[in-house]
Amino acid sequence: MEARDIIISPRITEKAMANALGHQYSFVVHPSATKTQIRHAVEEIFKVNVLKVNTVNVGGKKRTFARRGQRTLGHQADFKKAVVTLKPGQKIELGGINYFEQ
Amino acid sequence: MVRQAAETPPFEENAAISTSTLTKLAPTKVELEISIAPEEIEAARERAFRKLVKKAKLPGFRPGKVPRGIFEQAYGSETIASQAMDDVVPEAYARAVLEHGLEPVDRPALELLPVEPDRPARVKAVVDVRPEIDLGQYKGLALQSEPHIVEDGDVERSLQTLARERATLVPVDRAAAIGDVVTMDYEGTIDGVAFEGGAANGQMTELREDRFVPGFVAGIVGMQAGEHRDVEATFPAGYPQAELAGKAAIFSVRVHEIKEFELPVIDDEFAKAVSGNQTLDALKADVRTRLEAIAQSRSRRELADQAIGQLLESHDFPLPEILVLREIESMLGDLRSRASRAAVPFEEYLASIGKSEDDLRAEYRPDAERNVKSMLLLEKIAKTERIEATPAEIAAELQALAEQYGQPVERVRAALGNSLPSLRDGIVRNKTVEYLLENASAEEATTGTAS
Repeated sequence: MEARDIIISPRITEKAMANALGHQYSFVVHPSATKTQIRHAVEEIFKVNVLKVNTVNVGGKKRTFARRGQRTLGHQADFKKAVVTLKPGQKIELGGINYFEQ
Repeated sequence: MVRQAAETPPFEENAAISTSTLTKLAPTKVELEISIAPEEIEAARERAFRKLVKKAKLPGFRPGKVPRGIFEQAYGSETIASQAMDDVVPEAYARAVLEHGLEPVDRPALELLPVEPDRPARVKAVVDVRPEIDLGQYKGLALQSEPHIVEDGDVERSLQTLARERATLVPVDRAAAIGDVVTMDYEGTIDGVAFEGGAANGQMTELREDRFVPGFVAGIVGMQAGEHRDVEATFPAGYPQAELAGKAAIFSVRVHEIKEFELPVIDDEFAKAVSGNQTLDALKADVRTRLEAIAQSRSRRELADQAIGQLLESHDFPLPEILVLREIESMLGDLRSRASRAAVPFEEYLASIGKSEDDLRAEYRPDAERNVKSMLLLEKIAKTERIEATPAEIAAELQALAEQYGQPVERVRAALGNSLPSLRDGIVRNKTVEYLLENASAEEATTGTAS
């Protein structure tokens, strides 16, 4: 898999942004990507040194829709989240914009 | 894990950094060029962002928790900038107005000059201001009062009017005369052809010269009950129904009945009937008091007119054009609403007097200028003398209005809404006039008072 197939997108949430101050950056990654693949992918794309990769499979939440009197059950997509710890002093910027530190 | 600290930069008030320069365009028009320091704009942007972010809904963030960078990415920095400008420009304008001691009479025309980053933003504001008024003498004005004395004849006349309102119709056996009420059928034709609205059966009508088509009433006068006559009448050229205007018509009239007004005898009985008074003398006294009150308010109004007239004479200052224009428009508006109350389309009314709206505008100008000038003068005097409307006076005025319209005070207050200040201004103007009169020396033209 190519590096850009592994790293799907940065995960821009309150929590991810708070963690970014501690050099931990969160990404949505390919569900079958391994920690090693993620480490190499991040190092390749952002030219940084990765100290540690934590991953977690996040299950999408169940959603109920009311439709014409009857309820339909839905499901948000599952995804894999990777929290990457960088070498202190390094940071990640995307397209010149630092999504994580605001 | 280090949580990001609340990242509010220390709040800075950069009021002093912004500057403004004043240019007089005309005696009552100024241009302000206000420059707003970048620091102040940034502070305003931050404030604008804090306000806007509360409404921002972005996935991954609770409302109000979106960082500014992300917010600008999602909504564009212009959203913040324009909100900031909306916020900071009026503020800077208000400061500039205070700084130069201006008294604007209108909302300013604001123009944002192009902004370069990190340079002060510049705003051009053009606004009409109150002219500088050098108050001359306004105390101790010498006024000539002309007392209005209520005489017995005036009382008599009012009683006559009352009697006429209570007149009864009595059938008479004589020829119809002006002032009688006749019951008649008529059918009008022009060149032998009946026209719309030209016929009626059993119509009761008071014979008055100014009613109907000229000639019609005159033709009926002298007819006996039961008589039939053909009456010729010509529609005037300016008749509202264009197809009839200027045409001669023949009305075939049959009079059924002739009645005349019989006035009631003015005595104690009459007094009881028309009022709560028991005797004619009491009614007379009542009428007299009322007439005297009218006379008094009339003398007061005349005195006030005189006083204001003198002030207008002795003061000269340029008037803000916008106020004059507004006054003209409001006078036109009055005319318009009068026309609509009389159920005459405004355009038709204009046509009937042969004037265009612009003619009227030109015609109203001197009066409008006078009104504006007196208003400015009175307000200046009120300011100099610190004449203000107290809350109690405003409440009393509202109460009076409420009684006039038969509505609860709260309803009136709500209905007035934004025009409450103008109510207050009205009270202040009245008090100022009162003040002028108190401080004037009124000399009566003849002896004897109106009261």
